[in-house]
Amino acid sequence: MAQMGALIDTNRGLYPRLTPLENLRYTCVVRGMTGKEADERAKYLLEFLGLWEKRNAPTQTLSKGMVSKMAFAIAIAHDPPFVLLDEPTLGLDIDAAEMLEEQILAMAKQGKGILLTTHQMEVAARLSSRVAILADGIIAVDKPKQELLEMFAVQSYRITFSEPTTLPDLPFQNRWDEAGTVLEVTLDNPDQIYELMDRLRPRPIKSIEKREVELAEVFRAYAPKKESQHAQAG
Amino acid sequence: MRRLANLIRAEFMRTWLELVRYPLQFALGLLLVGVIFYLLLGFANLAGIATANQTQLTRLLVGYLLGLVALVIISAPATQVSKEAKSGTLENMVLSGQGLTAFFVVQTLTRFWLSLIQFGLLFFVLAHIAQISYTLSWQVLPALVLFLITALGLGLAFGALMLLFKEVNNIFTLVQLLVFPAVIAELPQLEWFPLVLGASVIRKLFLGNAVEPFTWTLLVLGTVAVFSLGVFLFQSADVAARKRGLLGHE
Repeated sequence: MAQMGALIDTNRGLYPRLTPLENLRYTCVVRGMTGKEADERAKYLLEFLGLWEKRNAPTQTLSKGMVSKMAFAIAIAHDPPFVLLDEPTLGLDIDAAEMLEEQILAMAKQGKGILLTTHQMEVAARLSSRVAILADGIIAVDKPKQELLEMFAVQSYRITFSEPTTLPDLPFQNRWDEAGTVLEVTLDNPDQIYELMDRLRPRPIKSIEKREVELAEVFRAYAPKKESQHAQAG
Repeated sequence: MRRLANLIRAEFMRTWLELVRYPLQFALGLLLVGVIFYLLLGFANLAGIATANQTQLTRLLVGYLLGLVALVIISAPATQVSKEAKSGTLENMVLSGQGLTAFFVVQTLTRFWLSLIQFGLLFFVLAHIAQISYTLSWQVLPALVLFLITALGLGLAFGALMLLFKEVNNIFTLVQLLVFPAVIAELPQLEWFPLVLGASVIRKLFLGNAVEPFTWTLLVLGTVAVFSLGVFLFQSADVAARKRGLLGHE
């Protein structure tokens, strides 16, 4: 466990009576660094996260974005090979969130293992290389992100009709446009294409094309109509 | 061992930073303890305790300061657990791999040196002002250490309660009401209890009296028992709090 870093709550995890520099030095020393190593690491992290100017400001006076960055810095203070991040960008302004995402990607490039849990599918899409979706506390799927998206792309189609039409009781995940002329459908497996074709006959089809799939749709497919599910991205 | 040394270093550093940042707390603490002692002296006079009696005065001063020391240490782990839960740093402590028990024992002891300086200073100043005579023996040191370890054991037990139940202030009030008079007045009903026994031994030593080997043995055994129980309860509460996901709760 000592080899792990964790960001559990972006608003907490700091000693309010210490400055950012002191918080980091304290954490580094507790995690086994010498005073000199702790100084160097704290300086590096504060510069890395754009907080060097605020190094001696009381932690209570930092903005929410700065506190989140500091919480992130504390999580990686001892340069752990593995980091757990729970909703790291939640509630941050756009600039702070982008900066934090850049740091997370930089760490991943350095070869760190990162387990990120989030409800924000766009964040998972941007940061992850592997995705696990939890439904009722059980891992419903766990695959490399690209493989997962391709799997769904093979099964996702956009069908355009030459006139408004309906297809009641379609047993696949589907979505219509407002005019009733475009149907987006995601099959549970590729073989269902035959059943789909049977159901489409004899409606006036203008075109059928494979569709780009977003991670949010994959999430919905595995966790339909539930709010408690969580995506884990690594 | 190196990890423990790092922890001690880090906690000393943090305590020092908080002391220099909030110095008034330390200074006012000295003033408050001194003023309360004089109030106590006044009550003792009203109650008919002859303050001209040197033995009684020494007993009162030593008992009073030991009672305060006990309260400081007993409440320290629980207070710190509450503060760390509020700042969300309990999880960081767990992740550090040091163990929560080591963290809170070290925290209490590194903060205690400030109290020790406070109480030491006050003892000599108050003893001088009130013209109290006393004897300083090397045996006071082991007796004081045993007294502190007992208080720390009790502190860990209350820290365990705080970890699990979060709001335990009423129990604290009750303990304060029991511990303080028990230590000051050496209640005969509780003389077997290591904290009261320790205070009694320290008083005897300050008065220049000898302490029998049997009393020392009893004190050591009682101290080991209370401290072991405190550690056991705190570690059990740590495991239970992690399982129930209570570490982040305020």
